[in-house]
Formats: sequence, structure tokens, C-alpha cells
Amino acid sequence: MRIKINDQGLELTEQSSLAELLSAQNIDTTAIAVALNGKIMHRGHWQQTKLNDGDTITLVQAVAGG
Amino acid sequence: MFRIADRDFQSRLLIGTGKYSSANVMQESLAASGSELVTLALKRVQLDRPGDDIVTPIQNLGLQLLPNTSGAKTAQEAIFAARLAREALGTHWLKLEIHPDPNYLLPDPIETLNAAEALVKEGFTVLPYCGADPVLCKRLQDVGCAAVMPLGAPIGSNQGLLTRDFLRIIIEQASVPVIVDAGIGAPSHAVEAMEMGADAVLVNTAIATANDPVAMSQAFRNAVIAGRMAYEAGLSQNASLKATASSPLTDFLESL
Repeated sequence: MRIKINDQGLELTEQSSLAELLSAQNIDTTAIAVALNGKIMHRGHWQQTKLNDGDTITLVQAVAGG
Repeated sequence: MFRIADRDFQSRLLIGTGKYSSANVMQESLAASGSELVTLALKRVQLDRPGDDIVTPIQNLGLQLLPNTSGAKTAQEAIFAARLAREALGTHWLKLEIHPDPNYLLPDPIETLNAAEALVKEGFTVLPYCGADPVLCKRLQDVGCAAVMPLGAPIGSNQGLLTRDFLRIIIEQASVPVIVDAGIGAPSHAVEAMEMGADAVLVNTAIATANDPVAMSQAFRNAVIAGRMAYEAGLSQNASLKATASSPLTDFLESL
């Protein structure tokens, strides 16, 4: 199954949830937000959200700025 | 003390967190500034190079976060960025900024007004970065923005209050706080804005890129306090080219 995170392609060998993907990618989830196919996914839903082939994930984090 | 939406602030200095040489210097500067409201940006996570956690140290200082929508070129992009920011940081406070022009980073008034209206309806506390246009500021206020943030000069340009005459009109007409944002390059510029009656100023580049950002933070802190005190004290209106003596000049000489 192939997905995209921030325009970068990624091959997943098995069915996984959003939470499992973030964990596998070692993402610090302190101040991040996730959108799946353009829809913002609330933190509380990451565990139950299963990923599908062709999904596009936008992952943003807070950084310094004025 | 002044109030934005439902929150009171002791400090009238808002600080941006960009352009600091290190996270430590940023933290020390924030602490030295006395600021209580601090801007942040959002960026796509680079999977091979995730950034440091910038939020925890700011929250540890007890400061309120004000995420911005920098990078958005349209109302639609800004609304998406705002929702992401709310999700990432757990705050509905937002510095709305939409600047499609890469050279001068001037805010798009139409997209900003459209986005502001939509975001207020979604429950955001919207502080829009905008041109120093009194009519636009009135419109932003009318759609429910919690403050207006007109520019003194283009972002990061350190040119001071090039828009001073229009800022005066905005301050005169506004019923929400006026926070002068962008272009403030020296404490003297901040004093000028505060003497004029601005409710607050937002400073980033002038502090972050100073030789000693921590000391410059303190300088701005004092400048904002001095400017506000002067405004409240009421500036003397006695300005003319001709001198007017402040000491008696002749009486005792005549008796010699």
C-alpha cells in the first residue's frame, strides 16, 4: 500500500492506523496537526483511523515565526 | 493592563519567535521582554529532519501562544492553516496573515477580510495582520476581529512607522485594540507607536537579529512602558519652531 506524507511517497507493508504510522516514523506529536486527504483529523481519532492505499497525509508542526 | 477578547494582559509587547540564533537565546529574550503573547508559525514536518519542540519551552514560561497563518496566499489556505494551528496547539487564538507578494509581504486585504469573517464564525479569536488602511481596519472590526494589527512598514524591514498618519486615524476610530505590527526596528519606533495611543506593538526581527537580543528585549520592554506612560500622561501640545522659555529669563538680571 502506497501513501503520501507531505508529498513524499511511502510504502506500507501492512494495514496501519494513523497513530501507528506516526509512531513508526518517530514523529514527536507534541504540537503537530494531521490532515488526511485534506480533512483535519482530531488527535483523539488517530488511533481508530485506518490508512488506505493512495491516502495523502499533511503533517504540520509549530515552528518559530513572527 | 489591556484586554484582547476575554483576556487581560499586563504587557503591551507581543513577541515573534522567528530568526533567533538559537532556542536558548529565544527563550531568554522572551523572558526578558515580559511579553505574555507570543507568535509561532506552522510548517510541514520534514520526515528526515523533524524540527525541535518549540512549544513546550514557551508554555513553560507561562506565555500564551498566537499561531500565525504565514505562508497562506488565499483565504482558503489561511482557513485551512488556522484549523491546523488550532489542532496542533489547542488554541483558538490566531494571527491571521495572508501575503501573496514575496517581495514586500504586504497583506492581501480582500482575502484577509474574507478569511477573518469565516474564522470568527468558526469561533476563532482573530487578530489580523493588515495594511494601515482605516477603512479596512473598520471592516475587520465589524466582522468580529478581536484586534487589528496594521503594519508600520513591510515585515522585517526595520523602517519604523512609515504609515504613521494612517495609524493615527486607525487608533482614533478603532473600538478593538490596535497592535502595530511589522516594521518596528528600534525601541524609539515602539515608543512612537505607543505615544500615539496604540494598544500594543508586535516585535520580532528587531529583537531577534540584534547583537544582544536579550538586552534588546529589555530595551523594547522599557520603550513600550515609557510610550504608554507618555500617552496616558498626555503629551504637551506646545510644538512650534519658536522657543518658549521654561525658566524665567530676565528678572533678576535687571536688578543688577
